Amino acid sequence: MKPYLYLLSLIFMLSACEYEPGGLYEVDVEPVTEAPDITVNLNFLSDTIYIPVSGYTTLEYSTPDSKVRFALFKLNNRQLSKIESTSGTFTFGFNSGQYQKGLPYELTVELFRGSGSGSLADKLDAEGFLYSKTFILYFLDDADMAAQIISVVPLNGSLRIEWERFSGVGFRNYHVFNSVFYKIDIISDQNRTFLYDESYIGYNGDYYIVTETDNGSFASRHVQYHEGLLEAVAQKGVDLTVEVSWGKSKFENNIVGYRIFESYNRFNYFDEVAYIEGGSASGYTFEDSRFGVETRFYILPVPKKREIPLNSYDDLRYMASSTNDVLIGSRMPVYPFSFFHKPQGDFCYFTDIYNVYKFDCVNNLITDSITSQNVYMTVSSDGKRILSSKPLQLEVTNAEKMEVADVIPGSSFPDQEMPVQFVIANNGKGVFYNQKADYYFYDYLNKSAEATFRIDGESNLGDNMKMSPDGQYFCIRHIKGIWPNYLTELFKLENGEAALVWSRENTGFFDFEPVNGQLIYFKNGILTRMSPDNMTVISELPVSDEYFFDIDWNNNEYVSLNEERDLISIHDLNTGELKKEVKTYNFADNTSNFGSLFLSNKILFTEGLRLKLIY
Amino acid sequence: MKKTITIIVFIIFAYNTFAQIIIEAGYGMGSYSLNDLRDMNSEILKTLPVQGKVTDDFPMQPFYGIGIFHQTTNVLSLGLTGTYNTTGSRISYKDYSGELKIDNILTSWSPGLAARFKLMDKKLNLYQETRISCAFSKLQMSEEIISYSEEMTFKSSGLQIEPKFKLTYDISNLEFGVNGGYLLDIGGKNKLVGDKKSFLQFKDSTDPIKTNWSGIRLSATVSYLFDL
Repeated sequence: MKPYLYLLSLIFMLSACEYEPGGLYEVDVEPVTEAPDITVNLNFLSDTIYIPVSGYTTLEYSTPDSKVRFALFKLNNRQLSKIESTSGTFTFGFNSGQYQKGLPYELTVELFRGSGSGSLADKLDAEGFLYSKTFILYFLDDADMAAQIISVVPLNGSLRIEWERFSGVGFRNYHVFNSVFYKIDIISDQNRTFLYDESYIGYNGDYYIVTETDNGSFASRHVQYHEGLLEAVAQKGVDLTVEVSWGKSKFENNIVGYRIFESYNRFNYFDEVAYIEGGSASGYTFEDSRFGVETRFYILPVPKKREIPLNSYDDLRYMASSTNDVLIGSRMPVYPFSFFHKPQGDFCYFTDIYNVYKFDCVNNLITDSITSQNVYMTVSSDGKRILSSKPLQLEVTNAEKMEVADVIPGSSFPDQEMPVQFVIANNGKGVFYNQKADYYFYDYLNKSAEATFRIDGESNLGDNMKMSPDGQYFCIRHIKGIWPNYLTELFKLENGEAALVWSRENTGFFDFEPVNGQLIYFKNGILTRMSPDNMTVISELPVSDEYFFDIDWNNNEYVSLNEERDLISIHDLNTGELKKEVKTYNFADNTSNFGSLFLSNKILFTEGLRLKLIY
Repeated sequence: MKKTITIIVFIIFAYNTFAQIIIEAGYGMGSYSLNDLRDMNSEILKTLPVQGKVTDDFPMQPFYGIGIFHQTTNVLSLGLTGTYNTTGSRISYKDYSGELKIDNILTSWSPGLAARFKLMDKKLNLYQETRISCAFSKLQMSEEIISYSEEMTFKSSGLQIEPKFKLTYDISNLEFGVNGGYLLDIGGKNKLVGDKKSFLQFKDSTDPIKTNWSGIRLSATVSYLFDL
């Protein structure tokens, strides 16, 4: 048995001789001894964090640094969570409702970052740096979480709204509203705490900053801002121009342009007349404003964004700056303006109830006056004599000197009846009628009646009466039958009698040419010139306008009004050539303040108003 | 296994009472294929967090052998043999922060049967010998990374055939010889000790990692002849 035992002993002895592997591969690696800076992104930004007590709160801590391996969250030194991640994002949530409102809690966040040396320990996350930061948490009601609005101020030509940065967690968006109807923007950058409202132009500033969080909660703050509209001023210029100006807007960069409206409050009418591009504009000149209309201008700024439709006059009044009413024309003594005479020469004459005025058309001003105690007056067509009335007498005035040259007492007239209306020719003769409706050809210089006659059995104060320059012809327009049926009749002084030589129904304007005495009248769109001596038509001129008002014999121009009553035209009397157009509105209509229109030496006259034209 | 060996040894000794017995001890050098284990190390290198290196890769190592033969005829001897082989490998990495070391220590006992034919019988004798054995291998894997360490043991078994030539010189009852041959090993799965269902396998192909001891064997022997 001994060899067998030797053999086994040998086997066991050899079994103890195991191979011992050897060799060492040593690598020279440079250790990293200084902690590198790291960048982290949080879903909370401040050191003091406000957390809504409602719902489940998620804290998120992320970094683009790929070497950050894990994060540790502690609340009041109690570990809430330890999260390992290779993505760089560490998220943990907790039910914030279990914490007491208003008390400070200390949240410590620790991040472990590998050293990056490349050593074995670094690769195994056993070597690195620990970063720690402490935050203070406050748990609040949702409503108290909203970002407070700090300021709303005009800046850089716009309106800047600034609010506090949201101090809670789980920020998702700021929603910025102007009123509940208009969302200006949604901002997902928590650090961007302002914006410019490019829609604000002076009104409707009702701002809400609504903070949305990951919890699905929305909390808002609100502030109202009202700058007001710009103050607008309208200033009359020469001719038909009106300068409209307004201050430079504080929100010029929000404005793409201005819509300009004219409006006549009297007629509850408005119309867009111009558009000016650019928010920096501060004025506009109207070249063709409307004569005889109280016009108010509205300046409506057009915002870059959120243009509100203009649906009514009320909208316009609310959204646009308005000027005061401006009246194109210069004021004149007003009543009764129909007794307005413009003989040859540079002067016109008219009365109010107290005075007879002499108006210098060249210098566009009243140069003289004489007292009067009646409304009626007349001037010879050569402009040398004025015939006006006072109680129980007529006065003949030297128009050049504005001095009374003669007085005709009431007793001088037939039956001692004072004239009611009267006209005078260049030679001092004329026609008047008295209270009895008796008409007389009368020599005012010799104070003697030359003929008496009746006008179709009736007479009306205010009918037009014209005298030929030589005193031979008298033309009158009066109502025939029922208004508005008019009859125009031409009488001739012949052999001590007044003879009816011509009549026309429903003529409009009529007058005698001041030099040659031709009769000119307007009917059915035709301006007819005829000789009173033989009743032959000399010329006919078609007139396109509906209403014919006056002839300026100095310039041989006539003035007319279109059917719509919104355009006054001045034409050459002989050729019909259009020389000037003047816009107006509802002129001489029943609702208008103006009923008459005269033209003399390029000046338009109407009741209480004149306008010197340039053409 | 132990029982089987005991019976074989008993038969040989019983037979010795009628014939010449040769007891033999040997020492040699062997090269080892162990290709699967080398590939395994390559795979391990790829998975390391650092760039390690194989510093020891199953090198040629001495082996030990014993045997007992019965000379049945003038030409033929039959016997029982056993060889012991051991080798190993290391994956190493070290820097200032610590060290990584993965060692594989491989040992094997190969009991078997041998048939020896005398080809030349002069002052020098020449033999041809063929050995068929079963290799019982043990693989100890130990891993140390900084302060962490882990060790696992796997065992495997496989059939081996080793043909070789033997040249001897006799001095009295002692016989000194030199041997040269080649060992063929079909290898076997490395099963985890403690959990035989688990075995070493390649990560991608899931093929088992086998222990293959194949390689050249050169050795010297000394024998003692007992004339019974």
